[in-house]
Amino acid sequence: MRASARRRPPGEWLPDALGAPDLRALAVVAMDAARTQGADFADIRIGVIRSVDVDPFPMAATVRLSASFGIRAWRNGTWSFAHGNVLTVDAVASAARQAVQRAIAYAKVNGALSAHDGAVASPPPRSIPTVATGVWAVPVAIDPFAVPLDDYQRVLGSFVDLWVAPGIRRNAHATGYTMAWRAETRVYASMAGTLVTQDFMRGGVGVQSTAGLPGASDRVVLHRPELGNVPAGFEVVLDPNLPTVLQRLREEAVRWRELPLRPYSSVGRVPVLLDGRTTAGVIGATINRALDGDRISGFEADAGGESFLVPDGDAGDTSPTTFSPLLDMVVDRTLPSPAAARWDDDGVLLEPYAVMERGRIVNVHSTCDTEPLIAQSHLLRRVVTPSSGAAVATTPASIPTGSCGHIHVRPAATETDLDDLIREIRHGFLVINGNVDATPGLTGGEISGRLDGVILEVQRGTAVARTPLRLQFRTLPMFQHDILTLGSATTLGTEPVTVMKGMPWRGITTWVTAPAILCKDVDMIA
Amino acid sequence: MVPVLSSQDALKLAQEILGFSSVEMVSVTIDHTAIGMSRIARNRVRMQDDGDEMIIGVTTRAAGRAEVSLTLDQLDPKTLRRAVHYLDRLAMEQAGTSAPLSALIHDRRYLPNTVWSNQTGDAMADARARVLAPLVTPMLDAGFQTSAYVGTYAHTFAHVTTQGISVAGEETDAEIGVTGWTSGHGAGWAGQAARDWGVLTPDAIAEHAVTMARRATNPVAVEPGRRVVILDRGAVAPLIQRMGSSFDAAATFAGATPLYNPTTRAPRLGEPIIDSRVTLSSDPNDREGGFLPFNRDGFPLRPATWIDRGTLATLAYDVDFAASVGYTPANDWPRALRMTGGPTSVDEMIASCRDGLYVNRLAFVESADAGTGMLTGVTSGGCYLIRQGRIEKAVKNLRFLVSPWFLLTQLEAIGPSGRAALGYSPSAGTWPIPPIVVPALMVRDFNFVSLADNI
Repeated sequence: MRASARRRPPGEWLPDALGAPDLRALAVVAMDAARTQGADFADIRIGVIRSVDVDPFPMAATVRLSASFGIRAWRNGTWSFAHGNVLTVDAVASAARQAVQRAIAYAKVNGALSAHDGAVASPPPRSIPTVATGVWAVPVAIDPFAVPLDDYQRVLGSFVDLWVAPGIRRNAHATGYTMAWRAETRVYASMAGTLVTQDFMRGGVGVQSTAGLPGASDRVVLHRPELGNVPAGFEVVLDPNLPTVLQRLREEAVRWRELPLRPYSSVGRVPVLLDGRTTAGVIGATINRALDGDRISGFEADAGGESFLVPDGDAGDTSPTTFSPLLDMVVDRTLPSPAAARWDDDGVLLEPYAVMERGRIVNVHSTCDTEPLIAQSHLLRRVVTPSSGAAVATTPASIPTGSCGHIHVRPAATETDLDDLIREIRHGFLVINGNVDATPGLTGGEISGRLDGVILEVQRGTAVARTPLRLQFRTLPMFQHDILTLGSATTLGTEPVTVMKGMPWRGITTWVTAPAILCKDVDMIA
Repeated sequence: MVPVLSSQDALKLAQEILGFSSVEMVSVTIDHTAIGMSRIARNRVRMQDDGDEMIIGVTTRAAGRAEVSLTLDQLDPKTLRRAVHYLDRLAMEQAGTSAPLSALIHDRRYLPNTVWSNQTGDAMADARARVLAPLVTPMLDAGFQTSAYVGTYAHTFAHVTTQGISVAGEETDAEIGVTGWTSGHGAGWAGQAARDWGVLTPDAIAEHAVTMARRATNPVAVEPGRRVVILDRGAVAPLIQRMGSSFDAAATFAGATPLYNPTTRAPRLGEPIIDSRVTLSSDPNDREGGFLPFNRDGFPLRPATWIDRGTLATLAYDVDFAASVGYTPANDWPRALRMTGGPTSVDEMIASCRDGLYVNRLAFVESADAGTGMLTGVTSGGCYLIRQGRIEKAVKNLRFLVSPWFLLTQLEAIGPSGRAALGYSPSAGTWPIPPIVVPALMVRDFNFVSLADNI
């Protein structure tokens, strides 16, 4: 496409000095300072984040720049963390020294506490990943920060034109399009010698497809969050297939909106079909939380909670919970995942790993901190590995915490699309684009939750009406006994699930991709 | 050592950035935040985090055009100047228009700022380490698996506009919480929060947590249902905290809060809606429940009595809604609240209860229905069966479904008020949560809907 000369690109004002070589040099300075101060181990994440958000009506633009660092220092088995956003040699060196000094001070606190419970002063040593060096980048054909804003507006306008084109059926009243990109250069370095640089780029078109009158409570609203989080540059919105995808989403919203809205007063347990995005949301809010090593190890006990896989609160006695043999789950952060990366925030080389095979848990999301605590549990019974690569710092200035990035539920191999699954229902419900409200379990029980969204009544294999119902599910019965059938790859949906962890709490997003599932015996509530 | 810019320095910086711009309407906002947090998990210091973050926000709008905005965290003058010049050019190229800036009608008289404590500012350096041992060792000596957090916070805010707004303020806060787990996975929690680090008492926190945890051993299941309940401050605070948004006038006139009367099709102003012993108020200069005397648009916030002895006294007309309906004075709905106290201690409430539950804390509290104010959540950190005036045994946690508006019509007794710690409460906002000053309560018909084995 031809760049306009009139409207300036969003990257024009960004300072030139904060490039990867400067970040690497500062990282080395910080590690030298930590070593000199006496750290047993230290690492740093340092980076620059740029973002642009553009709305079409009125044409509003927001640009952001953030440069920050976070340094962890380990001394006598105790961590300390210091962060800031002044990226100078003096500032990062000072923060590194401060982190080590505080680790020393808090190690003395741990020593004093050990006299009161008779246990060793320190938790088990953290596992040490293989030293890594290198550079990795998301491939970008067109830098969105070099594209004039006129071109943003032109592309957004073409998407809006799709919605108002002739021949659109009634009830197709609105849609929302935005375009946004987030670019980050992040350097990770450790005292052990790891020095890696990653250039992330993620963005695209955010779309909310709505059928129904503006402001009406019974509108049908469909999202496709992955379209706005593609690991690529501006070229993704120029993809010739994208208009077709957007048109299909519009048609789907109209299709469901044309069904009559009917009250449904009966309660009880019925078969429920969850579309792929809904299944992804449910699994992200339930099973995936239970697989979080921070919960299993007890590090989140007084904040986000523990895991129902550890019923008595002891990480060494994880229960052998098994789920439906239809369920296989793999963590995979390779491209084109929105969470794509080469190394995690412990500097661990990322490789796909299975967490569930035929319903049996075979791994959990561990970091270098949590791995030694959970590797020997009854759940896993395996030797300690460096970690599964689940350390994620939401920004360079954030403490790394456990989050798998992107979990995939394997679809059925046999071709089974959503309509095939609907035909299997004599009487039940179909949930499209469901919103999940789950209560996180802290210890040994189940997670229960509610679903709302577009909930359709199905009779004799046909969706016949929309209902204002909400559905209530209980995690263990649903995923242990109630799954009847999985959809095939055509039913896959992707959903970002954000959970709040830590004190102070911060949102950590995991992407989940899952097929539609047909379940029996899900509770209906009015 | 003061960990953040002074409000004067933040104001000066904001005005300097404002001077870089040449378009008609510009606003500059500066947030400088320092947080220090120490966490104990599995009986040991798990992590401690120190640092600060500066966020500068600039919004510009050329005459008759839509606004553009930028945020950045770099103080380098060259970067700042370049960024603002870029933004100016972008603003002048913008199409379309935005709504008028509400800042144009601002009242610019502010109450004094009383929410900064030098003692908290000084404590950010190393005081947290000193309180960990007295906080945690009583729990370890009693044999409990222990988690704890000790947090300190300092924040400076400045906001200037080319339309004449020029306001800045600074605030501090601190919170300590500790939980001990017992056999059978019972738990005892205690916590305190205050603007002033100096008023926190780690020894008292530890003593209460040990008492709660000792009583929590081997909890038994009880049937859910409607019960007489004694709610300690940690259980009352998350319920009262969620009531604040109901005072929003725009939402109430739209029928979206419990304060709308569908029969009269108007807010319930002047109607007695809860127990006449209850007054709910907010005041930027409240000794325990104070807050910055302006909002993020620089609009002054005023003291208000929302519920006066059980009667709905006023609603919060934000500046835009106030302008649209010609109402003065405008105010924001209260993020911080004070509920008046009473004379009855928790021990006296327990002694007067023949059959009920004592709930030390409620957690994971979320809105179930904004229109009725219905909330759901779970008991956490200590829930006990009361029989014949004494605590008989610990019970397993329960899920509840209640509206605080209904609950405050079912009062048996009210205790003295004090600020409550909220602990992990993401649905209440970001940490630290604005102060909630509440009494312990004894209430009838508290609705438990199921066991919550998962807690």
